[in-house]
Amino acid sequence: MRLFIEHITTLRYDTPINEAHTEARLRPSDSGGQRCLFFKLTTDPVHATILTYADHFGNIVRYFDWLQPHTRLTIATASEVLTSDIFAASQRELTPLERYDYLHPTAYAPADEAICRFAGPHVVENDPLATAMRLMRAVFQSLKYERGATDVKTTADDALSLGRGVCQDFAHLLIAACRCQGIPARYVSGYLYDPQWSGDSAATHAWVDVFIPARGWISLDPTHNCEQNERYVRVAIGRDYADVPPTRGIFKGNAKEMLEVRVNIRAL
Amino acid sequence: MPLLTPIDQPILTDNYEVGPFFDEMFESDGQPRSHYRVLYEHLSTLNRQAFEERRRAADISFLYQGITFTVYGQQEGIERIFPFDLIPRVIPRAEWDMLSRGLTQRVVALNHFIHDVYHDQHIVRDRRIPAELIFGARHFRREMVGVDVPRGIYVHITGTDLIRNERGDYYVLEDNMRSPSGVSYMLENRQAMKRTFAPLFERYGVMPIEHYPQELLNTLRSVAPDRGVEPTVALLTPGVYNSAYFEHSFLARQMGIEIVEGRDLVVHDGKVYTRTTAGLRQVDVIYRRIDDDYLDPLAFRNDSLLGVPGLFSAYIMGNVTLANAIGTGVADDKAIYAFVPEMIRYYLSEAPILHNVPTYLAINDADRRYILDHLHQLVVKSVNESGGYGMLVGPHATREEREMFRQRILQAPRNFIAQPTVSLSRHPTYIDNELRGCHIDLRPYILYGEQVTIVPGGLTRVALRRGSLVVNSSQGGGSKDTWVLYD
Repeated sequence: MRLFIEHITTLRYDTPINEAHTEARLRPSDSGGQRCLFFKLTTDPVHATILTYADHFGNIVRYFDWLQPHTRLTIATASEVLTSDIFAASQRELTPLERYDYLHPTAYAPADEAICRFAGPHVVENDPLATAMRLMRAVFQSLKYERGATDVKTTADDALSLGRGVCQDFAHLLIAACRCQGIPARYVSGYLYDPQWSGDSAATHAWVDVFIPARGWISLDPTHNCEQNERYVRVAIGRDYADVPPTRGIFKGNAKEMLEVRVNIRAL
Repeated sequence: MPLLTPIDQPILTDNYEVGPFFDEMFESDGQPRSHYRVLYEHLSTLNRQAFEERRRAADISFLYQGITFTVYGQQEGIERIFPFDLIPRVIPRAEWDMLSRGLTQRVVALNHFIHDVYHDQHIVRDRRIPAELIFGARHFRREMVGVDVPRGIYVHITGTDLIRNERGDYYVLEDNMRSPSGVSYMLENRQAMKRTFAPLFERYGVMPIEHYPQELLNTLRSVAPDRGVEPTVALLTPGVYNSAYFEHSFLARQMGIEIVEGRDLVVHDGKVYTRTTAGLRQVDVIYRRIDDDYLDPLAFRNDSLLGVPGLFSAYIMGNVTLANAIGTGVADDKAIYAFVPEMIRYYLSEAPILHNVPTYLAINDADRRYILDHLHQLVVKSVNESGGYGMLVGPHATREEREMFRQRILQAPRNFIAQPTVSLSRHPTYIDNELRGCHIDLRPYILYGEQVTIVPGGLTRVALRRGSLVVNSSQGGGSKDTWVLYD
């Protein structure tokens, strides 16, 4: 599927800030059969120099600074992506660091007792793929999708006890459940195309890759209880949300920050 | 001991006890070792009055130069003059050459290790070191994976602590690969000795160390990014409240480079600049005396006010060199230390020249059982602490202290190692009007740039508390000048 994505982030400050440094992980990746055909990031005020580098997960990072005082920053991206019918990663073996990172608990996906108890009944002996699929369904059934019930700081154990959450919470809970069963799992941030949605941030999405011996990475979306398909656009991967926020910044000044995000996706 | 010592009494008396230790100056039968003979003869003629005069002169010069350090952990910010002992430690040339070869070998192997950890991780794939130990190390920086640093050098400056056991064999106690401090004392001690014991110093044939700042500057320049101009080097300090601030300003002055705090630097378009009255000037190499955690609030701890936002981006794009590199702390983790001899064999295919102190890792079940059964005999160390903090000296600890460490070990075994107590060698040291044997160690400074450079000597630290084995300056230790001889 060929998708066009517009993603506009506006940051406003109630008093002027300066020396702002911003990192953006917004470029769709070239991975698992997906190809990013076009990507452009522009800012307002206009930045002459926008630097690019890859972080240690292989995510493409755009970085820029704005030293002068300002009260508003807009980051707009336009991407054209050729998606893949199914996530097809060729990696058959994890590096020692991947094995460590994707099996160890993190702040968002802790090795919590309640999560391990939650995961226990869904284990299929000697079949990590079946276990992961059943865990995905269990997460799907245990959390009710409700925007505003949780926030960006909510952890998997909190979401589980609350019984509600958004895609980020579904993803963290599945990651934590897989890891406590010895299945390496990582967080995927990206977009989900649904022709019925448009305009707000609903199209930004998060899901989970699990690593199955002899199969490799399988990509699962616990929010919809399905595997990644041609409507998914992958942007960044990490141990949890903390590794992949779409934008991350720091500035000087004692100001309150207000964030507004608008995403538009259309099929070409 | 008489309450009042006559001022004309020699400072080296029959009271001096070699004890069951390796004494640097005396053989066990009380005869001076050959390389100490000249010093011994000099001390034998020196009475208390003459010695006290020199000592006062030295103390005053230290005070005027503001050589102090701050003691943490007790009350906030106690400043003390770093106690200096006028009796120099003497090392024969052949012994030094062996140490120098051993230290070079060790630093080169450790640098290989750090490069490997942040690239292909062969040593983990080949199962020589458990992944858990490396990736679980507090100072492992996954952000550095895949990042290339100039010349592949991570540890530009290492301070390695050496001790000698009761037979006089040298052992490495730890390799400080983050921001080793103390080199300013090494340099100042030498100045003080040259002023107060000039004739003795002249006669001895002591190898110079005064060129250390120039060697350090050469090292820093040799790893600068190449942008076709003479590189600008700056020293980044956490500020005047840091315990080593004296050293930071001293070294910057000696090298003729600027000393800056985080707020004096700014990153723009991926390059680092100092703010000067004439505008911004680009910086190529930063000799940073700030921990990784505080370097850049965008990349690391976002509550850090000491660092420079955007510095990490400039760094990984190769526009600035940090010395030491980010992530070297993985190599001075005390559990990783246990594997250094293995690294030497693995990366260099050589036999280690310098020994490690035998080390038990609490993370290993068998080792942990041994540690818990022998707490009264062992020294237990927290793997990420330095400066003698977070440590249990079993034989000197109370029952409560041992019990507290038992609980801490059981809660977080990865965080603890244990070693047998080593009877550190002793050296005649002036305490209470006469010379007594006090425990010492040695911290040479290893520079790694275009090549490895070690100025002959280092900081000899001395435990001034009676019977104490802890020589850290923050734990009531002092220091001596270290004389490596030419012949």
